[in-house]
Amino acid sequence: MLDKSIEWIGRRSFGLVLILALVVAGNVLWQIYLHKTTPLLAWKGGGFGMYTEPHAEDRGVWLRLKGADDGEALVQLWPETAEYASWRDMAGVRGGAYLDGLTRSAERLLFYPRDSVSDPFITRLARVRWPDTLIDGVTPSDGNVFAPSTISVEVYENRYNQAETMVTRSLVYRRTGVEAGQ
Amino acid sequence: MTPFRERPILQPLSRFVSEEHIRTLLILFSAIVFVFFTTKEYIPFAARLVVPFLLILLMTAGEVKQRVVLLFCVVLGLGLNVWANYYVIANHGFMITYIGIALMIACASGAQASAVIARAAVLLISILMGLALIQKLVSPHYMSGALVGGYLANGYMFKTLISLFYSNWPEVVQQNLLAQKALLSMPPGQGNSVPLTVPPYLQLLAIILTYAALFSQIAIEACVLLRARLGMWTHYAVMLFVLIIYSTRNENVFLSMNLILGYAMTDEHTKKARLWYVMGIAYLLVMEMMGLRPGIFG
Repeated sequence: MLDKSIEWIGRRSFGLVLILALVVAGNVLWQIYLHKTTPLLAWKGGGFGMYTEPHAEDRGVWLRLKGADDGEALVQLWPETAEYASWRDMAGVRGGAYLDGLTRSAERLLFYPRDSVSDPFITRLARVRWPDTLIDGVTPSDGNVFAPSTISVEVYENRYNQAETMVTRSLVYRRTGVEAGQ
Repeated sequence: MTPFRERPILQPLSRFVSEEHIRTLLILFSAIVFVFFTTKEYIPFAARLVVPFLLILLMTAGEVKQRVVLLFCVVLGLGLNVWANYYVIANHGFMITYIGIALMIACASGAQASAVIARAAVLLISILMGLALIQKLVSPHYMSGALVGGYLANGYMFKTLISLFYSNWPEVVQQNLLAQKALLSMPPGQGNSVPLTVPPYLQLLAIILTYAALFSQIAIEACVLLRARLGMWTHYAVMLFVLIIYSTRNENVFLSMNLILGYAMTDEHTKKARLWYVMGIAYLLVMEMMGLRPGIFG
């Protein structure tokens, strides 16, 4: 069986190489399409668009939390802040692992922020009791925690403008819990 | 005078890599996969544990069946990594998987292996270089010179070289970086732009480098497509491309994959290039493992 399979591949090797080339070209074209129509980074997804657009390190992830009394808190999730790191380090083993998981998820959101990734992320964020130091004393919508419909995940990107020698930050992605029907 | 490749200390290596095309390719492929798997933090622990042993077996395997089965196992590991981290891994994660599949197909073809892998290498280089070129042409950010300009302003390119002419450059770069970091950490709505300090001649240099990179990519694409006429010049072009990229960015694993494709493209008429490719890959992988880079490139 194995010998026959190898022989089969060997006899069709030039044709299979051509099929491989078509798969590679298809992968790259699909990535270019996604990059042009979604916030997917040019650097990711196997499209070989690296060194054309800003990198993930030029992106940041923020949380917008709407409180019960119309207050609003903004929490920086990526790059991780010293305040968040200190809270995570003092949250015990399980709590620390949970908060670390949120940071890792925020980091992954830099590459390809999309609803299928941010919806479960918002669900996890809705279980967190945020310390006052991070939410500036805003009262959570559900008493101790923020309901998914009051949580927005936002991804911002720094982009250098060569003519004006200036870096400008812009919003590249936003998702609010309510949009996911949660 | 004895030619470089015929010097007593280099002769065994030179002869081996020139005459044993497929065996050398398997060794180079194994070395690149090993470095890739041991230096990238997103590779799962189990894969890091198993794959190096598979690579040792692959390097020593002599029969077609053994090689194909081992390559299949390694490609499976590479493919699973691509599948699991599709939008996270760097593009060279995809590239090494394609190279592994091409090698597996080539090894299955027995006596035709060299011709098959050469065809695959030409297709991969021309498709990937060609589409990467299109990505640049359709990117307003790149075409405005902002990408290269940003790299210069942030000290990612030629920082040491520029500081030879502009002594304050390291401090200026540091200020530029801090300003951007502060912008990224500023609550949304409290400021959306920061000016960077970039001397006018560096802006001009950014434009020159932007178009030089485009033209060099077009030249390499042309060299690969006209390889039958250009012979060794195609390989000099590939090596020059690697050298230029190496002088600007630390992309050792990606560049070693370009070199292995160049090595795979060689034939009886161009096998003089093989030693250079092997030395280039060895240098890049050693530098990657040791985390070293010549200081002049910054």
